Amino acid sequence: MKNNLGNLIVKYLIFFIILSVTIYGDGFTANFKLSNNNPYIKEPITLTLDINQTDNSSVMLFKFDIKKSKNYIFNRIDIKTKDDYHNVKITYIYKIYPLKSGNININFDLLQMVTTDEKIAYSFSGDRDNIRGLNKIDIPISLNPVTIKVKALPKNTQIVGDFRLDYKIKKDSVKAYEPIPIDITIKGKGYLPLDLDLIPESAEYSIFQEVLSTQYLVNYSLAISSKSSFELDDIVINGFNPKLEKSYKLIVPKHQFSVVTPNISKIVNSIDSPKVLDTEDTYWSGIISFIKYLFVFSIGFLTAKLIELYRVDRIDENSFLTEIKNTKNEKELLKLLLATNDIKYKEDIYLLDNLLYGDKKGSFSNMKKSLILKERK
Amino acid sequence: MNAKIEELKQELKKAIIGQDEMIECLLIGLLTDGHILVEGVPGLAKTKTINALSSSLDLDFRRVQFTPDLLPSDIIGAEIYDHQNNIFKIKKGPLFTNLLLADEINRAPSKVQSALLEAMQERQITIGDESFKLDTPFLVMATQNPIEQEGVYRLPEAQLDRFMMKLVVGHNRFDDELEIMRKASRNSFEKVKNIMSLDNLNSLKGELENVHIDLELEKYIITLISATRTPEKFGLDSLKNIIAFGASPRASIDLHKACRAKAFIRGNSFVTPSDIGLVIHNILRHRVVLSYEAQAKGITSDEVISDILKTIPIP
Repeated sequence: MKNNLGNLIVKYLIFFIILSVTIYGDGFTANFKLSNNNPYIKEPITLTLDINQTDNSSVMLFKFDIKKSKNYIFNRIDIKTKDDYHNVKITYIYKIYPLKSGNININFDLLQMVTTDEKIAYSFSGDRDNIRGLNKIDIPISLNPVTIKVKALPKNTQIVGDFRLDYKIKKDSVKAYEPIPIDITIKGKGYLPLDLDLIPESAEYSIFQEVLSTQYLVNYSLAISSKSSFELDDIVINGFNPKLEKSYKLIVPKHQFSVVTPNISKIVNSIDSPKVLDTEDTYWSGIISFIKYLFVFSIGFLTAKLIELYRVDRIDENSFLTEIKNTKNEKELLKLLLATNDIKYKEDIYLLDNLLYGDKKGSFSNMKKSLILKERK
Repeated sequence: MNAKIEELKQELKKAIIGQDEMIECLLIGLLTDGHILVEGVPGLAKTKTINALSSSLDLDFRRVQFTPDLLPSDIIGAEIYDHQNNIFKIKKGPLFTNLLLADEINRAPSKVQSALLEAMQERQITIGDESFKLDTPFLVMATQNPIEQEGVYRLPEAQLDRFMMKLVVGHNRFDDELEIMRKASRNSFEKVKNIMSLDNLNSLKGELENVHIDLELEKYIITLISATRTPEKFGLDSLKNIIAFGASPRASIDLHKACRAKAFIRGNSFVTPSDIGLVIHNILRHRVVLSYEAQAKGITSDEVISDILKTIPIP
């Protein structure tokens, strides 16, 4: 397919008159819709782009975005794709916020990509270790910018949209330098005000501020600290509702804060150099520390010894000797020798076995004596 | 001692010095169709022993080194496509043998262990849609690294139960090691000859059937096994918290078989309590599962078995 702009039949009408324009590309159409072409500064406008594939003989892919500019900011709200065989339909939805008044051009990037079923199949035949790229023809589509005429806001407007205000001052009486938490929440639809200077700087107090936001809410968590009582003036936020074309004010009324200064003489030691410990105290504390260390060491040492003794006791050979001595008959001795699971007693076991169950004759006491002698060796 | 068995043992001793216990366990396994698990450090003539046994009996012998990347098909076999004839052919794995040394069984993952243990139990292998009976005798001697070593997969208790005996092989005695060293340096180990045919082995198995075991001794076996399950009923209250699981019924069966084989190898026509006592540690060692308390105290299953032997009266 040729990247021939001459093949493009681009029809665009002036947006000031109608809010929709359709572009006829090579094998596709692109329809732009704008919700409003004459907004106020920071008033959101919705841009919807519908791309429809009209040439169903090949596989088409599209890439679209708004070009960045200082004159506006934008957020992509949604992309809907209906990917039927050789018949792709894509809808892009954007919110655009103009940032200055007058005529603003909104520019776009649109890329048409054309490929075949075979090339797609080949690209999928790769694996993790053998990635196969998609072979395609990229056709950049040249689009004329969309111009919108942006209206200026009334003077001193700080926020644009339909907002309301909640505030919470948790305490109004604190100790010196103790932070006073103030929560100011601005809720509503519009251009979220994230950079407001709600409380002016002052020598009387220090301000700490954290801003958190969600889609329809901005929360200013403020903390003010001061060494003496002070009054906080009204906090006035000037708002403008572009839908109603009306200005309004959001107000946090002025507030008096009482700061208690502690009696410094009671909490700070007035003596410059504290008394030095005398030598006798140091000597005894050294001895006490030594005794403590000795005690801990002894406990550890004795515990280790006790564990060792317990283990030795379990395999004490003398206890085995005693057990041999305590056996009263051949069966008990045989039982004891079998329990040792030691091949060195194999011959003795066979001997006892023969005495008990075979035809061999012998004396149990002699057998026991020889075993005791063997053990002592 | 049984003359034929003695002759076999003497033949094996030409190549194996010391390790009488391992030779005897292998013979018990061979006579009773049991499998042997051996635990111990390398270099204790495990491969040599089973190899010598296969030479003396003219049996087929194979060795499989278990590794972490081993697959079940590597040991049981697989269906392989024959390009020329356009058909799938069965390629039998090393399990199709008489004597198998499964070296370092706990280095392989559980799926391979399961494949081996299943074949040991069923004595049959299925590849694709076809099942194959394994040749008789089929004896597996598996070696295991002590579990404390790194890179090993613990064998589950249920699978350990498939082994008739677990043998812990220690180092050779001083004199034995001296002889091994001298013979190895001079390469003067005698070659093991084939002294027994498969028919002879089968006739020995037939003779083993005639070894008598008294009912009192059979009850003694059941009492010993029951004591591993409910020690408190046999006056072994101290073992109540030491044993987590006692031995299975397979342990009673294996102990019954092993003590008869032991008596037969000794040349007796009847079983005595000594025959039971001499094999019981090998039969129960891997079947008595100890509690965490016992492990913390450093108590071994051998100590528990010894305590039981000491307490239960001999008939």
